[in-house]
Amino acid sequence: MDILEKLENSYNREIQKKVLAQLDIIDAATEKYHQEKYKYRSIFLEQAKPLQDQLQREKALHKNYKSELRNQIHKVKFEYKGKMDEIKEDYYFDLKEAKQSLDLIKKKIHHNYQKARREYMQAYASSPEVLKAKLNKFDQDFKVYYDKEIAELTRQREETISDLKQKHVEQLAKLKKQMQGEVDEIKKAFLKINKEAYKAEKEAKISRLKSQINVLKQEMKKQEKGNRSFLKTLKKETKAVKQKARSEIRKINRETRNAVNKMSAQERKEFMELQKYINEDFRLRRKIKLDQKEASIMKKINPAYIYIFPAAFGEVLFTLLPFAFMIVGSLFRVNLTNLSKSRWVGLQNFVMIFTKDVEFQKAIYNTIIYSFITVVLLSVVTILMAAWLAKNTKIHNLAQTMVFTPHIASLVSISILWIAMLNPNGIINQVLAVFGIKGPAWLLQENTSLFSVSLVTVWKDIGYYVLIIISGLQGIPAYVYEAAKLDKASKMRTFFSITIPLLAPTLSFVFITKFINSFKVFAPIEIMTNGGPMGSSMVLSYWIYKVGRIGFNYGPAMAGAIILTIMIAICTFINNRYLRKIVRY
Amino acid sequence: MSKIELSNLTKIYGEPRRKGLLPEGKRAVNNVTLTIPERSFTVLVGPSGCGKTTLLRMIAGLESITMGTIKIGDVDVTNIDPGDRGIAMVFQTYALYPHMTVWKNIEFGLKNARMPSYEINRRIKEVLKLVNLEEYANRRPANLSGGQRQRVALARAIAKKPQVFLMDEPLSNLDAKLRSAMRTELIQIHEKLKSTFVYVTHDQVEAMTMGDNIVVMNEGVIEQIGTPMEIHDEPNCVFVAQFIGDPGMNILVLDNGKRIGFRPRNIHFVDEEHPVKDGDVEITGEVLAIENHGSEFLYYIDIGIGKIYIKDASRQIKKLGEKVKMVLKRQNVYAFDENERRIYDENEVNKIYGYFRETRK
Repeated sequence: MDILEKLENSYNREIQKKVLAQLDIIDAATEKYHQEKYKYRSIFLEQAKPLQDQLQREKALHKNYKSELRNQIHKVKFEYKGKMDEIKEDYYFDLKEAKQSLDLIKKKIHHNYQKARREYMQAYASSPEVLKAKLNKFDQDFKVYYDKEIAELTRQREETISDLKQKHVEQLAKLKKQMQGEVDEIKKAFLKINKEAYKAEKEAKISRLKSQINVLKQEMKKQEKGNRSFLKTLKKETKAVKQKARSEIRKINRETRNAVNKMSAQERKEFMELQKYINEDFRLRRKIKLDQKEASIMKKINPAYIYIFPAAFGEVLFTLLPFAFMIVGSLFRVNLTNLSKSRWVGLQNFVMIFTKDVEFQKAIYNTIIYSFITVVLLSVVTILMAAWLAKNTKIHNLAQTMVFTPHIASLVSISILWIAMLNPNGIINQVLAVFGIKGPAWLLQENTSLFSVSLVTVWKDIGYYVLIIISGLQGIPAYVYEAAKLDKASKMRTFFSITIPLLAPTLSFVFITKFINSFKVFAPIEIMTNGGPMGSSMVLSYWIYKVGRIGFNYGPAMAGAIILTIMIAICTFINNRYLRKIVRY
Repeated sequence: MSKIELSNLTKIYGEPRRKGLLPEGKRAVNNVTLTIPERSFTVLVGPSGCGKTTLLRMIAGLESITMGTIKIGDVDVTNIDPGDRGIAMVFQTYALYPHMTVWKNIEFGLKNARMPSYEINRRIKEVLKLVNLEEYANRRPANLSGGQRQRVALARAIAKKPQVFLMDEPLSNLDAKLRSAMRTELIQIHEKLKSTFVYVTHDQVEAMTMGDNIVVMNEGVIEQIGTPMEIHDEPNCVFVAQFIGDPGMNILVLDNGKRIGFRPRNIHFVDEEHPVKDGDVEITGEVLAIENHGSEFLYYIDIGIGKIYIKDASRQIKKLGEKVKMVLKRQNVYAFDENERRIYDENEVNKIYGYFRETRK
């Protein structure tokens, strides 16, 4: 028998129908209550909607009116900028050619000179005396001719170049003037319309609409107030109805359980089987309700806000608020145990660390040195290593894994390992001793401590950045290399003229991330040198920690942190600005 | 300006099981022996995967050679680097250096050849003029259209003044109109330069219009070599007959295993009452499909022992499902044996034709 038919005639369905009837009663009661509650609001919305639409339109028009001006000006400027760029590019190209042409002519003259000499030699090969005399005369003549010619050509070249320059400057100025003219015209045209009356009219319209809406709102609120006591009683009633229905459902369930208990084993089995379908029915009903609820919520809120909420929450709580606190705190002599005892000192903290704190100045210097050492060292090593490892054989994969391993290990353990290795009597100096070199004291020596630390961090980071650069290398299409092969490019030339430029986007990423990370270096310094000896490896992060957490001078520490942030911002900006130019192709 | 001699050239992909053994993969190029004449425009044509591109890349030196030798001019270049072979190649994807301007793209190869700078400048100006790209010298490839990029790739090849030009489907990324324009341009450039051109394509129209020497390849082997006329009029096997022509030759398999073939343009519709001459064959069939090519109609017709194409230039349009009568003449018929090879012996052909006529009565 068909399961649906079976279900229709079963005892289960009978019960379900009873339960559903009760649930319907609950729904109807809730619905009624809601309708009553939001009656005036819905009336208000209906009446106010056209007004609100109009208001929005007016506002948008007002807004557009302003942004339209901005847009038009921007468009004109953009157009002219493109033109100017074109002119500039052409100019540089012409300039280069003009500069090159003299060299070419020199080469040509020289070539002809050699040729003529060779011809003389052939012609007078039998008589060396005559040859010598002839050649001497020829050389003298040639020298006179050459000097004259070159002087003339140089003059011509200078002329062409100055002409070019003048033309270029004139063109640019002309374009600029044109652009300014157009912009002014647009502004003037807008100014003509943009009169006080226009603005006032607009504002009056908006305020009128707003007041109309307000009136409606007041009315609604008044009506709602009047309705409040009725609502209260209705709420009670609804609650009672709901309770009654629920108890009814409980009763039905109890009866069902009793009935099932009285059934024979066979009947019970059948009942349980059918009950599965009934339960699914209820589940689906609940899910549909949930979907409706979700849809009604999502209609009101843009889901994007829900998605970014966790990240935004973290950002605000752990980055923006502390940063704001830091900015405020840097202007105080902060007492963290009792904030009310903090004293306003203005910019005194900044002045102090820049003028009196020698360690801070050293820290800035060291941070910059450290960043440059690590970035340069890391990029050279990783590019070479990646170029070598970007093949898919067993040996290369094994090497890749081995190079990557330090990245997995914790920085602390690596630092401790390297402290042992860089000990004056450690393995590195022992190996050096084998070759007869007396190694330095590495971490314990003023002039090598910072370099030693950067060596360790570079060693740890190689694996990670090699992986990134390898992926960049694999993004370069194979046909470019094939074309280079046909162009007879040597391995070196291919690497410098093709691989490196095409790798520029990846390299810029590595540069920026590594620069930021180097500016923030803390853990290896803390573990390996504690900023010593004699502050030779003191960097900004560690200085902040030392002054703030150990010395309890929170004000100066916060000032230092702001300086660090500014340094990172400047560095990233410069990187972004100048690397993007190279990257673009 | 030199001929290319390939002897017993073989390419097998894959890794050998042991050093010294041959690899056990697919034979992309199988024992090819071929002489490409001096100053010819040779077109390698064949369906996808027939090994024509592999052959070209082996001539260029981009693909290792499993067996055999390659000679360009009098020099054995089998083990010579691509840059030293005196060749230039135009790729299907253009293979321009994306970070260099047009000028630098062309300059790169010349610089690597250690050419003096005044010579480089002269040549670049010359080739840019030749391909009409003078005002684009300081643009990057990203700012050029497809046809312009193609021309830059061509200019880069020409500037090197190579003995041999290799082209790997250079026009397949262009749209139809540009393609035909570039086709004429390439022919003109060949006229001007008088170099040896080797051109790979899967498009038989391109092959027929551009080449003066056509090499038809299939599954790593050369099927036929000849001028376009020879290839079209005297195919030596069923594959060439069906591959060349638009559409290819109609091939009917007879009961005795022999095959008979005729071009779609060489069979004609006749009226029902039309008398059939003694030597001709009368064929009846039903129209299955019609294609309108503008100046002519292409019909797909079921004639019982097979399905054939007919190209008809007359304006009497047949209908779908219509019963039609056609006439085939003796001089238009080609005969092939059981191994799909062409039969040239007149008596043999007559015998097969007679048998075919008997079966159609």
